[in-house]
Amino acid sequence: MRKLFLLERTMRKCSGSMFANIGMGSISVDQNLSKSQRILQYIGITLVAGAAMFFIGRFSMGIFGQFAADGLHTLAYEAICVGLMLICLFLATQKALSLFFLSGDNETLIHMPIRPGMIAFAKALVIYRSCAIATGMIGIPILIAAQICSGGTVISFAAAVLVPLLLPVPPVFYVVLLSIVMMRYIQIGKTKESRASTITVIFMLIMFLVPQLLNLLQKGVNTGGGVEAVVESLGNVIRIFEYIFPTTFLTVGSLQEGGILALVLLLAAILLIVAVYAWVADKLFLKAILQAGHHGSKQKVADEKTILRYGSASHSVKKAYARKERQLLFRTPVFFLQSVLLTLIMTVLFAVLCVFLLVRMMSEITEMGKMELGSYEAYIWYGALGVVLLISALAVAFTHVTSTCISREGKNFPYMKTMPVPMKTQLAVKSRIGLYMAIAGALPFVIIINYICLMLSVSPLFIPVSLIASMSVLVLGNDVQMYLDCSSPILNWENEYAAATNNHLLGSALGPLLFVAVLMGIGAGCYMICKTLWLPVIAVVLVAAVAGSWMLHNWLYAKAVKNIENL
Amino acid sequence: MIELNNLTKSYTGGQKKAVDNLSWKINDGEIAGFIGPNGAGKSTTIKMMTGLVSPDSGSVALNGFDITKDALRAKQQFAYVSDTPDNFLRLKVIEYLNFIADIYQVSEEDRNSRITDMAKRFDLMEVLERPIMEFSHGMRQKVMIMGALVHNPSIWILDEPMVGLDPNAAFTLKELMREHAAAGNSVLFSTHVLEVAEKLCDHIGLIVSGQMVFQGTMEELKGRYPKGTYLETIFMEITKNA
Ligand SMILES: Nc1ncnc2c1ncn2[C@@H]1O[C@H](COP(=O)(O)OP(=O)(O)OP(=O)(O)O)[C@@H](O)[C@H]1O
Ligand SMILES: [Mg+2]
Repeated sequence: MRKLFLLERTMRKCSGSMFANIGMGSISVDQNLSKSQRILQYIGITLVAGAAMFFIGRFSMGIFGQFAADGLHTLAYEAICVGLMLICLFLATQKALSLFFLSGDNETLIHMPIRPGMIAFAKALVIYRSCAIATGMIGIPILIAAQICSGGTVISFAAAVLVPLLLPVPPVFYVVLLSIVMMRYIQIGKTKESRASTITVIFMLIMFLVPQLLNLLQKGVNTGGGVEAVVESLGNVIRIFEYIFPTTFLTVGSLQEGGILALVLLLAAILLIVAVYAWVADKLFLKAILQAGHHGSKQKVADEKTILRYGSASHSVKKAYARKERQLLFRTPVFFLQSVLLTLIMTVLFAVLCVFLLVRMMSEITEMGKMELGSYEAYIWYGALGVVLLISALAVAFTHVTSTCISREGKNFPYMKTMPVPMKTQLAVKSRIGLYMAIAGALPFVIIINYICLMLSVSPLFIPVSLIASMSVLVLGNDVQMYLDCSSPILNWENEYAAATNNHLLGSALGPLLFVAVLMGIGAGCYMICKTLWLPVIAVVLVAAVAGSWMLHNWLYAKAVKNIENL
Repeated sequence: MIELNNLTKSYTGGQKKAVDNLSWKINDGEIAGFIGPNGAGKSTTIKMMTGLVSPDSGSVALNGFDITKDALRAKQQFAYVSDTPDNFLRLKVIEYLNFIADIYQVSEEDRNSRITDMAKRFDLMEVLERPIMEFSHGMRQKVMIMGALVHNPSIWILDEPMVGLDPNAAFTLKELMREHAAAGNSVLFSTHVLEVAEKLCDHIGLIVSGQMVFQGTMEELKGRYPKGTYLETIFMEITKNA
């Protein structure tokens, strides 16, 4: 047992900070600090986490009250459990990628006098731990709030604490077992398998998305949308989950009145799963490791003609640099998955959903478009502009290309630094790729919103205004990401996964949003004062936005370059 | 020509100085060997020379260009091979070499002839189109050396370049260094193999815990000890006493 926890601790430390996955890369205790400073940091983190949990609880109390009033207790519990399990699946997949496919410790550990099953078990524990922290932080306050609302017994309060901690077990072990089985066939770390991983992800998405879309369309035609349709499609997702993870019944059951039997059964089921896992892992893990790593790329024999062929490409410094960036980004499965595919999939997914919603609401929109807008036009302008800005901020925050631009280099970084290419040029090339990705992520939605606004017969001036505002958020967010990565890059990584976690989701989205919000606030204030002048006001705000972001852009670059020089 | 003037560096949190007031001058046409025990400060010195680490005090001039004040022109002067060969693993060898050639603006003719020549000498011709990731340690080291030399700079700075090379490749590298120095350029490399330093270097620098304890030719160093003393013994004597 002692050995198991020792293994777990070592692996956890090697696989990156536990918060990195939730996008809070910067919040983790720095082990280099003195003891008192460390304690202070722990207290700080506890306070922040406590406050966050309190807000989650407070917030969900209202929502749960609403559900309870509609008599939808069970559905609410189900939705919570399934939501938490989805989070687990997401986190577990990421961690499993790092711990099973990309870690170099397998080959070292297998030589030691440790049962292979124990290695696999320790890895699963690492994953479970990070999932349980997430589900605990989110789930416990929500469920306690729910129990307060419905006046639960002591046992149901105990269940509210236990369930979020037990919930991750089935998804985690599911993912881990799948990883062990897949390890034999896919060797992500060693060769380029981005094609295989792309196909897998897209396939999974289609499996998930198509039934939902069909559902949505059908419901739209039959009932004309509304609450029932939402409840219905939510129910469908939950059914799917209950098929995959039969324990969902027990989790939901144990939260309800008289749930003690379900709770006991749940505990028993979890124990069973763990036992089965330990047994299966012991049987499979060694074989998986031994069989992995026998795949190489197709070996071509090169000769002098090859040299001539490659040597005649474009020779401009910037183009060569950008080409190398793209090659690294697209060929490294982890970067490709995290930085490129995720953004594209999110965009496609949400854009498709938006278009479907739009199609369904078309008649209502055209109806509204016929009305006189009058003084409401200003509100629509501001509302739509706000949405555009929010979407741009999200698009840039979820694109991890720029936020990992220096970290991705890892051990190549010394070579980048000794090149006779100014750091500013290198950074500009790097962040431009991220900017293009972010634009690709935001543009479909900006177009959709513009379309709606035009349908509502808002002045066509909205198009350039929204485009400029969106661009300034994208550029600024991208710059902030670059700056953050330059000030604290992760360079000493053994597996690429560690570099991919250096994304400061909050900072890169909040900073530019705040900037634009301040500007828009000034604009709104001006409008309040002189009601008729709202178009000129927006023009002034825009000029300020462009000038401000241009200045901030240059300032961030200068700071970033300075940080890099001092690394 | 490489000039190091009073270089000092201590890492944050480090108790003692990693490099302490180190001065060294390597003339054109010279091969200089940098030797010293593990953790003595060789890599740190090399990193300060190449602009990877900024010194606390002191200066570095490469062919007269200061690495901090005139960084870009100084960077044009040298080729650098770091102590880990695991770089650019996802690129194919030929892509990597062309990338470096593009960055240093090597003409198409030059790069093609240099790559062909080196690929033949290092026996990598057939694997040019394979990703570096699939290579052994020694093959990766060869690729890094080729990358450093493809733009034919006048100064070579190599951090333990012989590690992992087979006898053929080590011989080729030594030959390349000699040719390069004979053409009036300077080469500096660190090594733990005293025999290599003895046979190859015109000049050696021995560093012990951050301080240069000996500079000069191998003959001068040996002259201080009774005739016939092994190099190893000399090395151990010096490092123990320092
Ligand atoms: N990034 C760093 N942070 C803190 N200390 C460092 C760092 N890099 C090196 N050091 C310290 O500086 C000293 C010199 O290290 P350096 O790498 O220059 O030694 P070296 O002579 O190259 O050794 P080796 O022969 O093992 O390569 C060592 O004490 C080392 O611990
Ligand atoms: Mg070294």
